[in-house]
Order: sequence, then C-alpha cells, then structure tokens
Amino acid sequence: MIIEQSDESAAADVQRGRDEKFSVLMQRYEGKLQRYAAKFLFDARDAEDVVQETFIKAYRNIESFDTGRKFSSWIYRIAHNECVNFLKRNKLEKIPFFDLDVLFPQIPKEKHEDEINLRQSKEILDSSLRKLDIKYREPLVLYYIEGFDYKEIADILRIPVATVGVRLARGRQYLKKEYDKLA
Amino acid sequence: MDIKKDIIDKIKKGELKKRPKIYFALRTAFVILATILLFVISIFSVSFIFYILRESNIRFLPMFGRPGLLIFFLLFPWTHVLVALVFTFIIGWLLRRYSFAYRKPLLYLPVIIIALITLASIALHIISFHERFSRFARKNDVPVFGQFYRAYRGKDFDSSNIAVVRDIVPDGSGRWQAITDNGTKVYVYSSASSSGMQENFPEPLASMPVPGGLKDSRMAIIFGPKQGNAIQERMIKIIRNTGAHRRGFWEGFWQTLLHWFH
Repeated sequence: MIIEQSDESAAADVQRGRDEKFSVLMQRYEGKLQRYAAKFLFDARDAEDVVQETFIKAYRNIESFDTGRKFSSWIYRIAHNECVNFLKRNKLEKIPFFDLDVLFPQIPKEKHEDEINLRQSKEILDSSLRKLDIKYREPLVLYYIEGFDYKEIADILRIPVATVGVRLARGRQYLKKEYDKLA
Repeated sequence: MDIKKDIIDKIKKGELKKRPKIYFALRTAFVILATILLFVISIFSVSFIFYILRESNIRFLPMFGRPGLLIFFLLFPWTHVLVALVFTFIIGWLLRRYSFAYRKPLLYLPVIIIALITLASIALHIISFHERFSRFARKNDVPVFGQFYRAYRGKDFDSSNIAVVRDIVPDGSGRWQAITDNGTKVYVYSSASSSGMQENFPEPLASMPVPGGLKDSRMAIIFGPKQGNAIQERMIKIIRNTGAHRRGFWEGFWQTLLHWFH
C-alpha cells in the first residue's frame, strides 16, 4: 500500500532543495485554490492570476514555513493575502482595515436547524455568496466548502478564534434570510 | 494557462528563487530585539512617572481639593504615559503575525502588555531604581541619562505650587522660615493679604489643626504660589515626619486618600 507523502513532508523536501516536490504540492492545491479564489473574486481568470501569484510567493517564502504546522493553512493564508491585494488594487471591494468584532467577539444566538439547512443547500450558498460582505463570505467558504475548522480559519485570516465563530454565525443568518426569500 | 508548468520553468531558469533561511531568521531576530527594546523603554518611561511623583511632591496636590487636583493633572507627566501607549501599540503591531497574538480577542494583547509594563515599573519603583541610577548618572556624567535626570532634579520647589517643609520657625526678623525635604531654606508667608507676599504667618506650626488625628505634626505640606525662595501659604496640611513621604509614591497616595475623604 502506497502511503502518500504529507504536504508538510513535501514542503520540507522543497526546503532541502528538492524543487520537484513543489510540483506535487501545486498539483494538490491548484484546484482547491482556484475554487477558493473564484469564490472570493467571482472571476475565473482573475482567480487563475491570483493562484499563480500564490504559488510564486509560496515558493519564494518556503523557508519560512514551519513544517510542524499545517501546510494547507499556510498556503491558504498566502492565497487570502493575494485575493485581498487583488481586490484592493482593482478597487473591487471595500476591505476594512479594522473591525470591532476582533476586539469584542459576541456570537449571536441562532437555531441549530439553520446550520443543517445550509449544509444541504450548497447551491443556495454558492449563489448567495456574492451578496455577502467579504468578511462573512470568506469564513463561510473556508468552513463549508474548503472544510477548515475554526482554528485553521483563524490562522488563515489571522483573526481571533472567537471572531471566526461570530462571522460564521452572522454569515449563516444572512444566508438563511436569502434562502428563505428564494424558498 | 498551465500554472504548474510556468512556475517549474521559472524555477529551472533561475527566475524564481527561494529567499534564504537567514532572511527569516534575521526578521524574527529583529522583531524580538525591537519588542524587547520597546518594552524596556516603556518600563523606564512609566517607572519614571513614579520617580517624578516622589521627587517633585506633586503627589500631595490632590490633598488640596479641586485647585490642587487641577495643578496635579497639569503637572502630571502625561508624555511618559503617551510614550508607553504608543510603544504598546507598536509592540502589538510587531507581534500581530504570531498565533498567540491573533488567536485571542484583539484587546487581550494590549491589556497584557500594559499590565506587564505597569508591574515591571512598580518593581523598579520598589527597588528605588531611578533614585540609584540618577545618583550614578549624575555623578559619572553618563551620556544622555546624566542630563536627563539633572533636568528633572530640584523641580519640586520651583514648579509645583507645593512645598513639603519642616521646622517652621520665626527667623528673628519677623519672617517665618522653614526647611524643605531636600534641605532648601524657604520663607513661608500668610495668605491673608491678596497683594503680594505679607510677612505675617498667622500662627506657629504647633498650634495648627492636625487633621485625621496624626500624631507627629513636624512636617507640613504647603500649597500656594511660589516666588523665588518664598511660598505663600493658601492651604496647609500636616503629615507624619517619619520620612514616610520619602518612602515612595504609595505612602503619599494613601495619605492623599486619607485627607481627601476626611
């Protein structure tokens, strides 16, 4: 039985000079990052450019990666930064410098069945994401589509873990309203 | 676009290179050194506040009600507080990329930084760091610090509308004479006249009211306008002459509270 090399081990090989291992990492993450960037930017070509920049930056800074941590969080962090830079450069969306919910995260009350409905209605999630503010859109994509947990999302977005919860809850509430409109 | 092929081609041609490990090691070392330096400066700055309050006697000003409190706020070394706050912000900004900083709510980090600075400053105050260092710096003419401490020394009588004196006695020529806590001789005038200083101090120190039932009335804190080596007594408070006021900020703080609520 062939055990696939972990991302972290492949990254360690790249650090040691085995550049061919970087193509393995690109193969594994190209599709995921394309999907993630597309949900961010809503344009496939822009997403491609951002993904290319992400891999360039990842290779350039590979020596800064701590192989004791998760590679996926690290590369998604780079992708997040590239998406934000792209939006700022092209003035496509307003990116707030500071948000109160990183100071005082207060998770709003919500019903449990709201979460279940959203998991089952990915199509609604996809179509409604465009209407959502970027600060709620990203955690929802990372959690429901990319499958990261709260701590990993906190590492990718560099926000408090509690704030991840706040933004997910608020994003869900907003999507629930959109879902109810369409239903 | 074949992203993978493009990037591998760039790597093979040498157009895309890795940043060396030393680059990231130096960056981390810079962050650590800068953080330590900013902490040290902030602790020096905040602990200096305690030193100024002790050396200048302005900590007694709140004892004299609203006028004293107003002057206290005007003379309080707010620049040192500002320095500490600005450096707290910079330290937080330097540490923002580390998980221990960003995983908790944003307010935690500055609160912890301020708490650490305050505790360290109190520790320096307890060991009389500035008193010892200022003597050393002035005696050995240490660059920067020697001048820094000289600039603050002796300001207690000149600027703060307050004098801590003992042994108020007539000098034989109709004036009242007192010695400040750093040994300077001063003349104490009555506030009875509104036009300039009058040489008519109302009564000897021993017969003055002793608020709060303090036993030893040999030290007086006089609040009033100063002119050269004279002070016009507007208000006067009696405190214990046990050197307590020299022992630090907290003794004066409790004395102030005692008189404020009496």
